[in-house]
Amino acid sequence: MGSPISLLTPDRLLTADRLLTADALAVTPEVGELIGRQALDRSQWITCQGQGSFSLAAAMLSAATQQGSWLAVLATPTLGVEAISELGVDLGRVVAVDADLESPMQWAERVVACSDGFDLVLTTMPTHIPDRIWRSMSQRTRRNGTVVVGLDTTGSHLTGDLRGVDLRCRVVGSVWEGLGRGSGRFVARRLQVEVAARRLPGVRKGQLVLR
Amino acid sequence: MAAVHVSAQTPAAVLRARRVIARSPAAAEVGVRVGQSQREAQRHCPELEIHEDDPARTARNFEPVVRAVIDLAPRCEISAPGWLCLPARGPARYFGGEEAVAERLRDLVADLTGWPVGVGIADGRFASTVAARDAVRSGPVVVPTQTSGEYLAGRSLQWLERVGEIPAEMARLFEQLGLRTCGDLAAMSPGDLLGRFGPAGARAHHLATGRDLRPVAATDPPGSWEYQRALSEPVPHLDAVVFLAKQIADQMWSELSTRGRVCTRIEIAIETEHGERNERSWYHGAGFRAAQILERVRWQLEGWASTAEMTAGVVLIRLVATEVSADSGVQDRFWGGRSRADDDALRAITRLVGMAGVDAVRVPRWQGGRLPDERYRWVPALSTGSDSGSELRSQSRSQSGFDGGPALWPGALPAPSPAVVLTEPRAVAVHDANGDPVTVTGRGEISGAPAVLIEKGRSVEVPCWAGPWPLEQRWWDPQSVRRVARFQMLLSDGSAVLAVVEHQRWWIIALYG
Repeated sequence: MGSPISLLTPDRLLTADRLLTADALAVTPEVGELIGRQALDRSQWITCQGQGSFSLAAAMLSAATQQGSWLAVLATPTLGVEAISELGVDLGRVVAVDADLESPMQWAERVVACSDGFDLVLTTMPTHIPDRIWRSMSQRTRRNGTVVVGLDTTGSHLTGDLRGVDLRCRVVGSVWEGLGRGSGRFVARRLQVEVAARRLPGVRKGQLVLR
Repeated sequence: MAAVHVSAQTPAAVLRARRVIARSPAAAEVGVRVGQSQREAQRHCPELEIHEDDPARTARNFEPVVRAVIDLAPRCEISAPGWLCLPARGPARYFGGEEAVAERLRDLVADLTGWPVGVGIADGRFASTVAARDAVRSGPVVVPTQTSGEYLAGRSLQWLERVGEIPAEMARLFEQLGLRTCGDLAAMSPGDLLGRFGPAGARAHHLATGRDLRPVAATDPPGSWEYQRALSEPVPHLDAVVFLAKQIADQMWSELSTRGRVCTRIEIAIETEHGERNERSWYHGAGFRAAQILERVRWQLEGWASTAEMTAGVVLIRLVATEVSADSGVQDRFWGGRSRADDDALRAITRLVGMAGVDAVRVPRWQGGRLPDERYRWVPALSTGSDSGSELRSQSRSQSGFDGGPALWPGALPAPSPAVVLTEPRAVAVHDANGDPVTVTGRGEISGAPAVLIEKGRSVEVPCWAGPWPLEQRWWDPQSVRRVARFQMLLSDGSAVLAVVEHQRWWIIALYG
């Protein structure tokens, strides 16, 4: 072979950089079905609400951790490690970070610090977030290309507020299989989830089976 | 811009994850650079036209170029949409010199698309790519034979990272060691680099010398690494074809990797029901993993489907590894953002530790046990002074025993595990249908079926439950012996809980949240 020629259009620049920063983040087909997209776009804010929101959030993020993305679990000390591992989260890329939910300022700072190095942030939301803090924080996490999943455990006012949340997921019901009256054990559950996307009218209803 | 049609005078940029990954010449003139954030770029150029990146679109737009070049020189390899590489000797002889080929290629693409295209000729792939980058603005660059090393010598090592497929981590390390240019690196002995950095170091050296015609340790495959899949029904949807190709891509990758090999050049052939055929050769110096093979299949399909030539569903997919090299075992980290993700995570961890303290940033460690709150322990992420992302990862992995998955302790409840493990158990009372407290005997017998659970004066019904599952912990140690009975309960408010009885007192210790 003689000397090679590289033929290069300017697009080549984007190719190298593109492959180094992974594309949109992967989701399992089941979650894809639920949210109506086969990937999580970067720079998104997602909220999960209702009983089962911890499992729902873990299921959403699991495929991305398996593909190399790191997950910061912020201000959520009660998250069951074993459960998220069973839902497919790669524990080798999980880091837990403390934050004081009574201080929205501190919490917001840490969300931003996490988003600076992690593709994924899972956090419990404070009950009240001043608008000013919310705006600057969400802008910065977006700029970092991070997907932030907020657990809204209180089911508080967050539904109406927080302009700019891209995806609001609400677990409206959950059916357990396997448990009887004095017999059996929990085997699987079916979550009924409502998903409302920003800029799209209406609410998408779906199911997610977790076992 | 190959992907987006803008006139050369319009400042425009392509963005991915809010970062500039390509810009038009007009934008470059006013200071828009690759790697800038959107905001930064707009500060330099408020009227910047912003386009989102779309690899499929790029593949489609690049297809006519590939066709035209293949007509001229059939032995052409595509590295990615927008970038192809071909041996110069044949065409140079035919067209009368390397300069002539370079100009001819440039004119060909310019006539076809109007893009400012860069053509570079040098002794090696890396050097020719760098030359092609230079050539976008200056016109074709032909580096004289045997001088590629000198041509590269003054270049920053960032080039290695950007076009040479060297992990960012390694490029940074070289810089810390005082190696700033390709020349510095090329002057070192390849043996030393191999010894200190392993095969990736040897590869970096090889690239820096500018003579990387083939990857280090490349061999033409003995026998054939050929995988094909014939489809009984023609498949019209591209997504479905890619999905069907996954099986053979996985197979190829795993069979090669069990022999310690990785494919660096692959030929992908696709055939339709009407006998139309599309064949392309793809090159990736760091070696293709299965996902990357599939990505190439997708690009090729996107490109082909954009022409009128493909008139029917796909009936055959064939993958042939035409060049394999020794798998240095680190390919995984070269592409796909892994090393960068690990790196970024480690930096963020260090910053968070500075912000919140060592104990506030933790990674999970498996320690075994039968109750949810004992099975994992969170340990400080930086406790053992790990200094790289991969070490951090392997620390949390190996110490927590994930290699085969943590074994289920006998007596522990099987999956699913509770998603919420309470840090403070909640004291509750459980009554049977008659309103009497439910008690559990030492033999694991209950006084009545749980019917109502009362917490802080509020009672909820218990329609479904199971248990008791007795557990005697550390029976050998009278100080810490613990006897509990576990129950799973589904409450009428929809919550599912794990409750325990200890010394006839009930606690909720975890929720299936």
